[in-house]
Amino acid sequence: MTTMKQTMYIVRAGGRREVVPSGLLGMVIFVGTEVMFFAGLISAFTISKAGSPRGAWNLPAGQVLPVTSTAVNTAALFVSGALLWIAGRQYRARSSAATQTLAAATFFGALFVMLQGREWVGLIGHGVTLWSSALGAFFYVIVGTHAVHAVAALAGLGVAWWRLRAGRLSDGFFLGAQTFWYFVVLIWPVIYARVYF
Amino acid sequence: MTQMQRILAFKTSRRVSIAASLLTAAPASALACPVCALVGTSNNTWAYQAMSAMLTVLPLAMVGAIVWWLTRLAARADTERQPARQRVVDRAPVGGAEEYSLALSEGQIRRGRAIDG
Repeated sequence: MTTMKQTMYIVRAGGRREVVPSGLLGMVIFVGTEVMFFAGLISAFTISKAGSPRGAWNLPAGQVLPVTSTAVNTAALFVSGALLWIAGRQYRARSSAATQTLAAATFFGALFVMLQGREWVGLIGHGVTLWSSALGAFFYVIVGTHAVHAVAALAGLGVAWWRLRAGRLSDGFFLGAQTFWYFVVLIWPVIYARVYF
Repeated sequence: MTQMQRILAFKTSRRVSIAASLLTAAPASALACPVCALVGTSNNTWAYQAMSAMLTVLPLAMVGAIVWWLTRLAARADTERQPARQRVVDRAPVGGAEEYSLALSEGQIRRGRAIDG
């Protein structure tokens, strides 16, 4: 005769099973909504730029967006993404090196945010503000929103690193943090190509 | 529904299909771009239409990709379960369907925990 506990096991084993961690699935759906959010911003930017009178889509006082230095920042972001991919492989292989690689990925991500912040300080010093022109407004809104996402994703990576060190990191949390950071890394080239050129 | 009603319904649906096809062939009459009316440049019209297409296709593509990904994961989980099921059948005690069912489910649970851990 089967006990109640055994019967519940049968129902669980036969009926519902987890094919993907809930944390990862939730993050994937969230990232989908974020992609649409950025698509809306880029759409508004593209239509406004195309509709602006000739020569009117500029920053004030002849300023230009720092394309070259931002390319360096972009490289730092890509290095961070690549390091996180390596950390993921090491984590799956249960390698202790994953802690250092994850820390390095977080460092390069933080470096990107700091370098971007330095650029902002320079632009604001030259009179480029949210209200100085339409391009300035779009620049600060789109790039600033990306920076907010980058900071949130870095916080997630930091927590993942802390838990990994303490031996308390779950697969779902790590995959979720990894997915969010990949989103931040992969959406950036689209923003860079659209806004800076 | 009589034969005549069926014929009339078929003709109506065919007329609606033809009318819809003709409407899609004339998109200029359905253009509803508030920004284009203000500026009126062909560049802006192109941007509006391209962005409309992007915002239409992108969510559908993402939902499709997520569904495809989940389906693939579920199919993989099913194929991975098959050998485990076979092993349990091979080792199943001769004790009727109830014992077989218990052995099967416990085997799957142990396997699931090993994957999670």
